[in-house]
Formats: sequence, structure tokens, C-alpha cells
Amino acid sequence: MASFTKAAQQWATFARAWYLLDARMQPPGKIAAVTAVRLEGRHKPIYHALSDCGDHVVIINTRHIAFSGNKWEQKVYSSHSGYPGGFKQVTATQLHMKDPTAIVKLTIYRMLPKNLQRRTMMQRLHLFPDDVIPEDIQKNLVEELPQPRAVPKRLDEYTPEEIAAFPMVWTPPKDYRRK
Amino acid sequence: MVLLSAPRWLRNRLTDRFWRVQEVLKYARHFRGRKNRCYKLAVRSVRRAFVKSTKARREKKRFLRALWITRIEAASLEHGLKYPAFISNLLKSQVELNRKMIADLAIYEPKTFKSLAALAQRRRQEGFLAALGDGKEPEGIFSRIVHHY
Amino acid sequence: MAAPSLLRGGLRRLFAGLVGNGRASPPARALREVVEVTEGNTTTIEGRIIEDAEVPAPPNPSGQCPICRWNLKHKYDYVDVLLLSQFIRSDGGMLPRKITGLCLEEHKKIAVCVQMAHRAGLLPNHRPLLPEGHIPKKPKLNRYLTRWSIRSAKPIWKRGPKWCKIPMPVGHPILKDNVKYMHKPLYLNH
Repeated sequence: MASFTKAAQQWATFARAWYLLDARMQPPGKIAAVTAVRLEGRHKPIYHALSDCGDHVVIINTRHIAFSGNKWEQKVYSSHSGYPGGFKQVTATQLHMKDPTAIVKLTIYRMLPKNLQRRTMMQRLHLFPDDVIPEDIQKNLVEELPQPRAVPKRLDEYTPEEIAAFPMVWTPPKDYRRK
Repeated sequence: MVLLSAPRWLRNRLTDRFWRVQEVLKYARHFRGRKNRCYKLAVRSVRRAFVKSTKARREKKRFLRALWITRIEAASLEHGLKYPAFISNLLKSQVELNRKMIADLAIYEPKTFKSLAALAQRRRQEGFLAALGDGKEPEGIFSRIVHHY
Repeated sequence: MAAPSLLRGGLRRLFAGLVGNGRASPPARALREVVEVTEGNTTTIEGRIIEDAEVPAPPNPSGQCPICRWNLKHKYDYVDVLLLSQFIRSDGGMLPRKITGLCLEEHKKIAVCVQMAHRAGLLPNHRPLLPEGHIPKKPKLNRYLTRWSIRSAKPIWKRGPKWCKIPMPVGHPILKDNVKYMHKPLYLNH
């Protein structure tokens, strides 16, 4: 086939898509697992580690991520500046208060393969603490990724009909007074 | 002594040791630094290189298989099937394509791959139906289903 | 469950206060609905007793506790707030076991589930009343499957070497027998 038809195919095959992911009530590890696949390009059949076929991922609402267990208090992020006395430790809460995108960014960075492409892939990641996205990024977006964790419904989100349809599993005694 | 060709004649002129050194340096010519010209340094790195290439010949098979699996997984997730479900159900439907061929199909013939995915999906549903059975337990067999109440 | 127009036995307390003997109680008590009817100058406030709605028969009437009667043993978790809200007071505490009729095992499990649901923020209307104009100092952080209370958990500064790290507990071991519909094992420590 002539090369001018192949060129278009080549461009189309290696075009970069932009994905949107809502991090509200999602654990950072699951966000990172979904995102790292997209950044590396492992969701494409043409994947190769060296062919740089990753996509862009835009993550919004990183301020509203959820940790399971008591990790907000127990989890500790450590760093060392290299100088004597340069060892710093902050809990997840402190880090999140300082920078609401830091936890997600660090989790994704650690989940990417440790090679020279890692920094390049991180440049294709766009994190926003709230759901406000700049116009030029918003117009690139192609698809919204499904949230990896199913968010449970709060009690006040159920409609009164749904609450009424749920059977009362025990009957209070006649002289019982509810508080 | 009969010298039939010019190289052999040339070889005869120089000492045997020179040629033995050249045999090793031949494989080190593209190395970086003095390794590509000093025999003492070259012989070590050539030896290491041969060991590594021997290991790599085995490693290549694992690496390629992992690559095919990654590609098949990517393609089958597009059709809503995870890799283990896809590959095991293809095996059960007696599609004896190897992973290399399935990965090639996923890249160059996406429609063929789509039909394979549909086949695997169908086989999967049939498997589920067979596992559920007709909802009755067989006669005279103590049920493995444990009811918690 | 908390509809604003329900006056829960409040009338009874009022009458009891008038009589002066707090312990004396009228024989029939139940949920009452306050109906206000205004006709000209006369306003009638009436407390109508709400009849209990017909409860559908449980599938296993021979069970000893409500959970067993409805075949729910090992089948509920902290996300099932419709079930959990039936066992708690309006301020979020557990109802006593004598009243709900739960067996001890299930009562403990429900209590754990209620606690986790509270910490995950799934029961926002069942919280103790805060003083007027109270503004929480700390922002609310989203969490789920939280075993320890937020105040008691301390940071793990040294997690130890790779092969014996100090675990971070997730979920509660009392719920480990719950029915799973997948092969993934349950990890209680992360």
C-alpha cells in the first residue's frame, strides 16, 4: 500500500486519547491501578513498553478521595532530602491538607514501571482537587472512565418509597417508645 | 604445507596468539571504552555478554508471552471480558490458537478478534447455565450448598 | 425513619408530667401523628395513633432472632443502611438487645456494622445533635471499613521491614464469615 495511506493509519493508531476519572469516594490505590494502565497504554492491543503509546488521564475531585480502614491517621509518607537530618514524615491527613492532589499523584507515580518513561508518563497525568477543569483540557476529553469502587448509597439518598418498601425485620413491643 | 588462499597465507605469517586474541575481540568491537580493543578487559566482558545472551534466549520467550498476554487482555477488555475468562473459554470452545496468533489477530484483524470474544462470551454464559443446573439437587446426594440459618 | 410530624410518645410524657408521677403510664402507647385542624378561631391538635403497617411474613418464622428469621445471617454489611437503621436510635446508638430480640452474635455484628456505617458517613441523619452554630474545625475526610475510632488511631511511623510490616487493619474480623460472591480472598490487613 502506498505510504500516504499508511501515514494516516499510523497517526490514527498512535493518537492520544484523553480520559476523565472522578476520584470522589475512591481509594487512591484503585484510582492508581486504573490510571497507570491508561498512562502506560496497556489498554491498547498495540501496547509495547518502548513504543510510548500511553494516553492522557484527567482526574478530578482528588480532594474527596476515600481511604479504607484508619489509613488517614495510620499511613505515613516518608521522604529524605539527602542532607543530614533531612528525613521527613507526614501522615496521610497532613499531606492531604497541604496538597489535595499529592496522595493520588504519589500513588500513581509508585505504581508506574520504574524506568526512564516514568516521568514522561506522569506528564500526561492531570490532577485537579475539585471538579473545575481548564477549558483547553475540557475540550480534549473523550471518555469518562467508570469509577473503580462502587460508592454505597447514604441513608438520606434513599427515597421514602424505597425505605417504605424495605420490610421491618422486627416488630417493636406495643408499649415501646422510640427515641 | 600447502597454502590454498590468501587469508590462510596471511594467517600463517602472523603468530597464533594474535589470531586467538582476534577471535575474542571480534565479539567486543562494539563495546564501550577500552573493552573493545584491550584483550584483557575484552575477554571478561565478552564472557559476561555470552552468559547474558544465553539467559536472554530463555527470558525472551517469557517476555514475549507476557507481552502477548498484555495485548490480548487489552483487546478482550474492550469487549467486556477479562483475560482469564477469555482465554479459558476459548480453550473450552476448542479454539486452539496460541497467544501469539490471538495477539496478532487483536492488532491486525479486530473483527476476527471480536467474533472470538463473542464466542468466548457465549461459552461463558453456557458454562454458567450448566453450573446452575435446573435448580434441583440430584437425588440421594448430600448437598454441598450450606444454608446459613 | 424520622418523619418530623411524628410525635414519639411526647404526649405521654406531657401527661405524665401533669399527673406528677413520671412512672405511671397510660396503657396503650404507640407512634402518634399530630394533626392540626384550624376552623376559624378554634385549633384542634390531635394525636392519632398510627397503626402498625402490615409486616410481611418472614421466610423462616422458626428463627430465634430477626436476622435468622429473614435468612440474613452472614449476608449484610455496613453498606446495608436500610437494615441497620432499623436497629438504631435517632442519635445513632444501638437499641437494646432486649427490645430488638437479636441474639448476642448478631447484635455484636450489627453494632460493628453501624459503627462502620457511621464512620463512612452513611447515616448522616442519625447523629447526636450538635450545639447551634457549631462549625467543625477539621474538614471531613472520606473513609470506609474503619475499624478503630478516628481519635484512637495513631500514625505508624515505623512499619518495619518488608517481610513483617505492621498491618493497617481494614474492616472487622467479626464479619469475615460473610457470604462472598467472588474468589478474591478477604484482606483484613493492608
